Amino acid sequence: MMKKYFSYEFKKSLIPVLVLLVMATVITVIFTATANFAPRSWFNDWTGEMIYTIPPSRLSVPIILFAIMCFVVPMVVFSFKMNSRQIDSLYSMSIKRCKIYLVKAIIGLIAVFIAYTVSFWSMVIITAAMPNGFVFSGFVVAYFLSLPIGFGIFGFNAFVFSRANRVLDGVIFVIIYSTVLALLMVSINNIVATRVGGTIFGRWGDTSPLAPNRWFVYSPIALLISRQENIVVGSNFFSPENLWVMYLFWGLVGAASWVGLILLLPREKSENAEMISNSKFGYIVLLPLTIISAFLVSGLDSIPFRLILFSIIIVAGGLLYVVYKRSFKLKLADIIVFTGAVALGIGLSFLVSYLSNWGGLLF
Amino acid sequence: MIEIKNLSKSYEKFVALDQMNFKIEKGSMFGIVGINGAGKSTLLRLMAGVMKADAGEVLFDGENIYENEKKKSECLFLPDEPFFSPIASGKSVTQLYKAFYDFDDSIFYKYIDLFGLDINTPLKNFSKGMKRRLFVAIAFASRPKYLLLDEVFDGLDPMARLVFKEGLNTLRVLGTTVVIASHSLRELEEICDSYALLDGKRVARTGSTKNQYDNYLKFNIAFDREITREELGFLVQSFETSGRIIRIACVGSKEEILEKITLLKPLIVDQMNIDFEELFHLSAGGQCV
Repeated sequence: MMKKYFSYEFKKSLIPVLVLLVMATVITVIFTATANFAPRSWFNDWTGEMIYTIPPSRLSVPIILFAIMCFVVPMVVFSFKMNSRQIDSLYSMSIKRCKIYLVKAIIGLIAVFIAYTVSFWSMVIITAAMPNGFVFSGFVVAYFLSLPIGFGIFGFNAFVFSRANRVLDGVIFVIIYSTVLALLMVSINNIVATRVGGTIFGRWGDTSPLAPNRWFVYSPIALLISRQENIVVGSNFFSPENLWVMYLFWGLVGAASWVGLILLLPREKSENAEMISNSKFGYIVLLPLTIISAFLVSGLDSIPFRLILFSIIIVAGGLLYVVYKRSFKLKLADIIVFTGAVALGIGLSFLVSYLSNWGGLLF
Repeated sequence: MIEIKNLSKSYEKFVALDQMNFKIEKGSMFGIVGINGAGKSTLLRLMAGVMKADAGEVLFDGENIYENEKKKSECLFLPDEPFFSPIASGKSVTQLYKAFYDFDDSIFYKYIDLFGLDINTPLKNFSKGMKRRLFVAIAFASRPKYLLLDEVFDGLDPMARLVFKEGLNTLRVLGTTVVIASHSLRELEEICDSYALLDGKRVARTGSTKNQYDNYLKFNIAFDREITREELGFLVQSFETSGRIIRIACVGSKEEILEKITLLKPLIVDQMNIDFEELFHLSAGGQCV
């Protein structure tokens, strides 16, 4: 039965796959074909040497499109879960739910990987046909390393999106989850760090293995682009330490997401479709956490600017609660949690500011 | 045979079904009736394996339907509002059913012709009744052993109803068990041989539609004076008065009730036939129409 269902879903997705493929390839081809990759040399008056430079490649274009597809496609593929009519139709069919999720995920992956592969190699072929000084092995390595990263991002986004009972909630979950960990890391950094001294995780953009910019969902793919672009243009500029820590962490997160998607989601109550998204992975934990983190991150700015940021955080947080409950009339429990998060966030941010002036909590 | 055993389902704090029990015989045309919110659609979704019961089970030939691929392949659920994508045509919608059922194109096109539908037209241009007709044709062509229909009469015009009823008769001959949840009591009376009346959470009454009428008596009685409900001396489910004429519906032995009515010296006693809709109202605790 799974084969028949796969065949049905595959036929149904042929046109969307084709559209995705054409869009990704056309964008990549336009960016690549209009570039000038010819190496340039110029005389440096200061050093008296001839400088030889290779312009940047367009490696980033298909990979960024790949990341965007790994963001959008899981939401499109799993939005069926948020439509009670679609749930009625699909769940009454003679196929187990885990197989439905598996088939949907495979179809989504096929769509993304085909579009990415065609657009990536179009970029490589067009680049090769133009005058250039690139190291082409860098492209090949970039392609093969990007596949498992994309697989992980797809699984992560699919799992997080599927925690919601409504499409809008799912989109909000995916966006918040993409950034909340980095926000938390910066927050912790701010608590324990000093303005002049050392930091526990390293500063933003540091080469340290635990630097805050490693904790975005898209960090692995962004760092892959930087690393491989430098290889392609023959530069030694990029030298981060122990990238494996980040890759191991996100690899485990990606694997756990896939396991959760296929094993845990089918156990969810089908009647939750279109209801308020009350998952513990969702607003319940995310909103207070994000509000507190946002206050902490903005805690080191000057007082007037901080007040503006605080106002924005309070309004945005309140709006998110309204979106969550789909009503301006919040329950007392929500008001208490929201107010508590705001109070705790503001208190901690002032504590961070105070500690910073005294050399930090730990250093 | 379908067995509903101690079936319970709640939506957070709201109890939709509580310890529900009844059986649906093989090859029967079974009606599920009840007021809005009585749990008809919840029951059908549980029977179709769309939802998981909090407690109890739905057994098809002794096997639990939930996540049971084999039994679900024998069962087709046609919900109140079947899903279709915004760009779907009548033809493309059939693909899903072709993937899961032994779909018979000749049956499908026979009903498409009878219903006068163009299956190449986008479904967004179909009226409610046209969509309903399309899905009825799909249901018949899928040839399930068990057919679960939710509010299937909605939007069907008299001609389409006739075609639909003839289609059901064909299924009856083939031994298909049909379960219909509907508000259209008069239609159910015509089609169904047995029924369950949901009163919200539980089954208030179940059995053969024919036998149930025997339990209820309905009389029009004329007196030479005005009579009150209390003067009757027996329990009545409904009591209507229009001057010296009363109309009552009650449960019990016909002889005993007539004996008590005779004591009041009526001028005329006329026993009336009760229909399914009145039976529903009486069973649901309402007034006889």
